[in-house]
Amino acid sequence: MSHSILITFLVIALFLTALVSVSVGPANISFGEIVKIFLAKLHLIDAKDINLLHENIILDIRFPRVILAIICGMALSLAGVVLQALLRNPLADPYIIGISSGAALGATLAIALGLISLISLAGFLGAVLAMFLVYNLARTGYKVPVQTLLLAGVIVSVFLSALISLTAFLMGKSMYQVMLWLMGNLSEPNLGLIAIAGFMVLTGAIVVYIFSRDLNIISIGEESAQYLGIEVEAVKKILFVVASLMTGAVVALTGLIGFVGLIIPHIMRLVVGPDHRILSVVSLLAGGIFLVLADLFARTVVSPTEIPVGVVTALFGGPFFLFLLKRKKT
Amino acid sequence: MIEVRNLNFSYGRKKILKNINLRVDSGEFAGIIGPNGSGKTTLLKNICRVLKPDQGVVLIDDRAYYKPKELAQKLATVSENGPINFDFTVSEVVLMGRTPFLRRFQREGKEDIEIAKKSMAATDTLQFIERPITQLSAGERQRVFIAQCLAQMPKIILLDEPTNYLDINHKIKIFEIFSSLNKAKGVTILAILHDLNLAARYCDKLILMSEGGIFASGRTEDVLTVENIQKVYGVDVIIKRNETTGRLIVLY
Repeated sequence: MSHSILITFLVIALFLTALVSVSVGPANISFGEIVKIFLAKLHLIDAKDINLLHENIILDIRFPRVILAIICGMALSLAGVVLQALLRNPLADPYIIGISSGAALGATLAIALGLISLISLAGFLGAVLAMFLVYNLARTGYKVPVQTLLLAGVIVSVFLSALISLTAFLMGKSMYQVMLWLMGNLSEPNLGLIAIAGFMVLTGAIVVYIFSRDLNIISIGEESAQYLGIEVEAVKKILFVVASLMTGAVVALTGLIGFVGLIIPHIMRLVVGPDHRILSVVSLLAGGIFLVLADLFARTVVSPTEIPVGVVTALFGGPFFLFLLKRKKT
Repeated sequence: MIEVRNLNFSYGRKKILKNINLRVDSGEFAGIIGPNGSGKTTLLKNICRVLKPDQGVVLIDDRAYYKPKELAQKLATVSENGPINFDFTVSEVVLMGRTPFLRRFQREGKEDIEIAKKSMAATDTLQFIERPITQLSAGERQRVFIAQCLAQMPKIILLDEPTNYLDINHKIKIFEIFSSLNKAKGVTILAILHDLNLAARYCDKLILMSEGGIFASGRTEDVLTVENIQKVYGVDVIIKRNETTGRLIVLY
């Protein structure tokens, strides 16, 4: 399949899954009505025969949620692509190596201090610090061995999660709220905050695309990349920051959602190969689709209750990770 | 031309290179020999800018400063490679050798693909062209990286034990390629070699290193002597001349 056809297909699929996801829920709202509601909102048609309750459900609840799912899935998936290339290890993922926990802790502290509008920035700072910590814990001399990296990531994750829970309990949050936060939750109604996160993710995605050829060469080997005139240290710094930026921006709003950055890039690599000039684009789109579907599943499978979306991604991602780990060894 | 002046380098507190001075003229085929830990690889990494000297300068064609990309258009390096976890095809890896000549968003053109194919033909890797690099043996993979280096069309080539994993047939073939590049196109070559006979056969000039310094350097005939080998390696050898090639051979 040619790459442009695949990209077109993914864009259409993303649009359709988003539409389905907006339509499905405890109150089933038809596609036609959804389109009408949006057109009325844009003042393109007269709003008189529109059900106000449905309008509220669509515009205030489901639409922000689906948009956040898309942005979040895209960010985590692309961050996975970047980390895998930089660490030259297909098992890297923002969740597994502890960046997500750092972001969640940063966001928790911002909430505790009442700095809600700075939540994505706090998530970003937390992500950078966690990345720095894990990387340096895992590093021995000039090398970052896979096993040490995974181990350091998991330990740092557990420790930071404990700090997150502690902070949340001290703020008087209930067990359920803390759990939602630790296992991912896409019901952020504030479109302003979502827009900020979206802007940060878009910026990150553009930077990743600019450096996609460098990622190819670095993913083969750092030294050989230097021989080819790539400024490896500078590119690594920029892209580690960008991966933290994208992760931090979304995790600050959603809490911890794992394994998206592991599953999607891996499957996309099977489809288009390892060339980051195309891999980064398709992983971005597929990540959005995947999280919209995972969220749809999370809120419909035991409807009207919903399970945290992180539970769904972990149910898929955990076994997938173990499968990859096992296969890598043999 | 490569010129190193008063180069000193340490890893942390450990001094690895002490006051190195050397010069390889354009069109020379020079070898660096010496026991393990004598600083050969560190010296090469200082020359290709992967490491930065604590003191001293490295001049490439009389210039000390290059942008990384600009240097890569002139100088290529082949060394040992770590494990690769991504399934790039052999042709993709060889084409990466064209990177220094491409702008950021520029795709590889027809000419680049031609150059890559020629490089693969020269290194006997054209047969693997669509295979993932991860499925090749260590020796096959090394030939692919040599093809990548050739695709860079460098004026200067630095080699760090480039034929380590190769069997004797491919070892000779690869060195014949470097030798003909050197003779026909005047490409300057500086190679670290463990195999003294390979060094004797191909190098016009040798640099013998010992404990972070240069013990001897000059014409191969003058450096490769029974006394020098005894002093640096602590081994008694017999040095003779191969009647067919006219080159020295070392027996041990």
